[in-house]
Order: sequence, then C-alpha cells, then structure tokens
Amino acid sequence: MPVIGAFLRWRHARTLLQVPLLVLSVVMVLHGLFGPELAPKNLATTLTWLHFRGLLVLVILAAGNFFCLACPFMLVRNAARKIAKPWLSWPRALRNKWLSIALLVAVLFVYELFDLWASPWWTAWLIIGYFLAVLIVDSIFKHAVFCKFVCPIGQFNFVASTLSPLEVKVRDQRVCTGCHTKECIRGERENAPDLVVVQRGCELALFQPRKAGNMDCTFCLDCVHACPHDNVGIESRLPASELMVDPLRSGVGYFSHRKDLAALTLVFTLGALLNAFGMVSPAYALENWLGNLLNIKQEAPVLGIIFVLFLVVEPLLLLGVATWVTRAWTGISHGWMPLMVRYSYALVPLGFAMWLAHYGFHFLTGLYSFVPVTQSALAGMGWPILGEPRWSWTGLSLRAVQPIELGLLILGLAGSLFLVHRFSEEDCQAHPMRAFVPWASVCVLLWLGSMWLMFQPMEMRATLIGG
Amino acid sequence: MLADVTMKPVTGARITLEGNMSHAGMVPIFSDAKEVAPGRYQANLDFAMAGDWVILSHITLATGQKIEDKLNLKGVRPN
Repeated sequence: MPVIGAFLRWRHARTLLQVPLLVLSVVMVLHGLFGPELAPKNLATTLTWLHFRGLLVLVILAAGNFFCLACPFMLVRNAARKIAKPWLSWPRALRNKWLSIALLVAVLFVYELFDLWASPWWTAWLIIGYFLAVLIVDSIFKHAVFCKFVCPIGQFNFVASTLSPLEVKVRDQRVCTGCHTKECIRGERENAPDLVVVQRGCELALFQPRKAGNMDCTFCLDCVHACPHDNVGIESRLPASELMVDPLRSGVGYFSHRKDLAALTLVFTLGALLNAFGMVSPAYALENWLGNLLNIKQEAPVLGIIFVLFLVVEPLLLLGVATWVTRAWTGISHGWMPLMVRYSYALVPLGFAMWLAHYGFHFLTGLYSFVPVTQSALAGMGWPILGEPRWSWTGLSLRAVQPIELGLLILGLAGSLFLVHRFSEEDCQAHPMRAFVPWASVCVLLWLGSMWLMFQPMEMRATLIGG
Repeated sequence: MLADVTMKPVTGARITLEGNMSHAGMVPIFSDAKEVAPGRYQANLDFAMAGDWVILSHITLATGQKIEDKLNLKGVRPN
C-alpha cells in the first residue's frame, strides 16, 4: 500500500499513532475530573461514549484492529518496562478467555449500573483504572498478558476483527519454510553476551507461518518489523473467512476446541442486544416489573437478573434447542457441546452488526458534538479562541441514520446465515437443510430482536428503580 | 419566578432555557422565556425524547450580570 505501507513499516509508526491518543486520554481524564458535570458538555463522556466507540467499530469494519495498534495504554506500559522488567509468567490456569469474559461482562454491568455514559467523573476514573490495570499486570507478568488474557476492549476487538478485510499475515510461506531464526516470534537480539532485545517478536505467541486470522492479533506489527525477509505485512482477505475454517492456529489452537472463545463470541453477540436494550423504554418497564415482582428496590440485583437472562439463559435456550433439533433431525454424531461451540462462531456477524448499528448511531448523531464541547473547554480555561460554543451542532438526523442501521443489521444477518450454511453443508452433506434450519432460525430470531430494539423509543435515564 | 433575596420580582431579565439529556450526543433543545408578569418568565420546551433531562437556565439580568442555574427533570414521558 503506497505511503501507508511505508509508514507502517517504519518501526516508530506505532508510537506516532499512540502519542496523540495518549494526549487525548489525558485531556479526557482532566476534563472528566474537573470539567462540567453534564455528559453532553464534557470531553470525557463525549469522546468516549460517542466517538471512541463509534470509530472503533467502524475502523474494524473498514480495515482492521487499528485501535489496538494505536493503544495508548501500551505506550505507558512499554515506558514502564524500560524501568523494570516483568518477571513472572502468567498462570497456566488463566491462559484462556474466561477472566477477560468476566471483565467484559463486568464493564457492561457497571456501565448500566452506574450510568457511566452520564458521568464524566466516572468515565475519567474508568480510563485511569484501565491505565493502572495495564501497568500493574504487564509490570508483573511477561509478554502481552494484558492484551491476550485480560483487556475487555481487546477481546471485543479480536472477535469483531474476525470480520475485518485486513489481516497481518505472511506474504510467501516458502520464505518462512527457509527461515531458521524465526524473529517474528523470538524477536531480534543484539549480537552481544547480554542478548538485549532490539526488536520484539510477537508477544501474543502468534507464530506467523501458522497464524490464521485476526484472533488475538493486536496489529502491533512487531512481527512486521522483526522479520528479516520483509515477509510479513497487512494483507487483504475476505471478511469472516477465518470463521469458516478450523485449522490449528498458532497461539490460539482450534476454534472448535476453545469453549472459552465460543463463550466470548456469545457474550459479544448477546451483549450487543443487552447493551442496546438498556437504552430503550421496555428496559425500564422490565426492571420495574421485576423489582415489584421480587420486592427488590435496589437496581443491582434486578440488573443482575437481566444480565443472567440475556447472557446465560438466552444462549442456553436458543443454542440448546437448535442443537437438540440438529442432532435429532440430521442424526449427526457431534456431541452437544461441540455443536454449540461450532455454531456460536456463526453468530459473530449478527453481533457485530448490532454493535455497529448501536455505536454507529451514537457516533453519527453526535458526530460534531466534540466541537462545541472543545470550544467550551477552551473558553473555560480563558482561551475562547474558537468562539462561542455552537451547542446545536450535534450530528446527523435520526432519519439519515436509521437506514444505515437497518442496512448493517441486514448485512449482519446475511453474514451469519452464510456461515450457518457453510457449517451445515460440511456437517450434513446428505441433508444440509436439516442442519441449516435450526441454526438459521436462531439467527433470524436474534435479528428480529435487533430490529425490534432498533425501533423502540429511546429513553435515557440516569437513575432507575430505587431512586 | 425570578426574585431577589428580599423576594422582590426581578424584571427585564433575558432567560434562555437549554435542555440536555444525560447522554452525550443527543440534540439539545432551546427556548427563550418571555416575561408574562413582573418577575414571572415563561417558556415552552419541546422534549425530543423520553427520559431524564437537565434544564440549564442562562439568565442575563437587566444590569448585565449573568447567572446560570440547573434543574434536573427526571422521567419525562410522551403524552
């Protein structure tokens, strides 16, 4: 790729992308802690919940996991590692996605419980907490443990980027076959007794010749810079192609053997509906009804019940019924869990479409809102250089955005149905429709749920039951 | 009603109401208040969405002094 390719091959490209985001993070934290308490007038809430979320999903859709590439948390972590090297290996029992799934659910829960979207102060502390978590974890444990096993945003990005059109991969496998130094994973060291690393290899244990897809890839480009043969690059590919196959993936294993990865995709997909549900009128009606039914005045337990319904009961029910019907109707010998794991990955396009529709909505309808907030922030510091804040500048109208949301959801359904079709043809060659119908029904049901959500009246409330 | 510390109506003020939701990115609503009686100012606000609103009053007194006030309006519902 002209210009961009040369820039990304430059070993300091990542730092150059990370520095502005670090500066922006500091500005957001300061404005969140000391600026106006009203979310629409604060850079912390505006940039986090409108622009960061929206751009994240749009960039992943259009390109790839470039937000992990430009992650400001890693800049701070790398600086800290120059002072003190980590010394422990991450515990074997935690070398999976279960901890990060729990953290992702926790973030979604806390977001609803404390109305983070309405609180510049809490949003600032979320950002600070993230920096501290990265520093603590990656100062103690070697390699990119935070990225691979902890970071909730990273796990979200990994799943979403299975649908990206770009991938970091080897250009010519024959070159790798002849390579004996394997710098892409070992890194490049000085020719000296103390073997100082001059260029890291992949810290997420993705050995390039056997890497397949974007799962666990942070686009850090360490492998690109380390490869002495210039044989690793960002290449184009068919979106979702990595979900159609199940090779042994370096640093990941087989998708079909990874119950934790399948669970992550389910949280990703159903979490999209849950997160959108939290902003519509029926959510408040449900919470009040549950609170009255169970005689509970506090929000946390009621919210907990809704989370369990969406993230545990719903997938068990939908996938359980589909699995039972598939086994009964096709006679295939796959066990329950392997079938559920396999078809979980087919739901990723639908889930991503819902995140795109939701975050894209907030991003597009609030596209220009950072302008008056910035004008106001500068004026508040005694520098009214950008003039009077134009508070009426928000973004596109609902009428303009809704067709985009609708189109994304339809594409998401198409993507999931296509994956289900591929899987069912492989699983039951004699009668593929018998495997297709139950899982296509799951996709259609979830899609109908997404469509219903899209047309529900929004209702932003910063307080729920219990005051 | 706008009054001073002695409860005397404050007349001749310019009041603009600005309504914001608790979520960033929602279109704010604006309305200029009219003085319908000495010290009594009235404005209509057309809430675009159900939910919690924060109403900011931007007040400019006849003397030129500016005052800001805030009112939390929870649970706005459609008619």
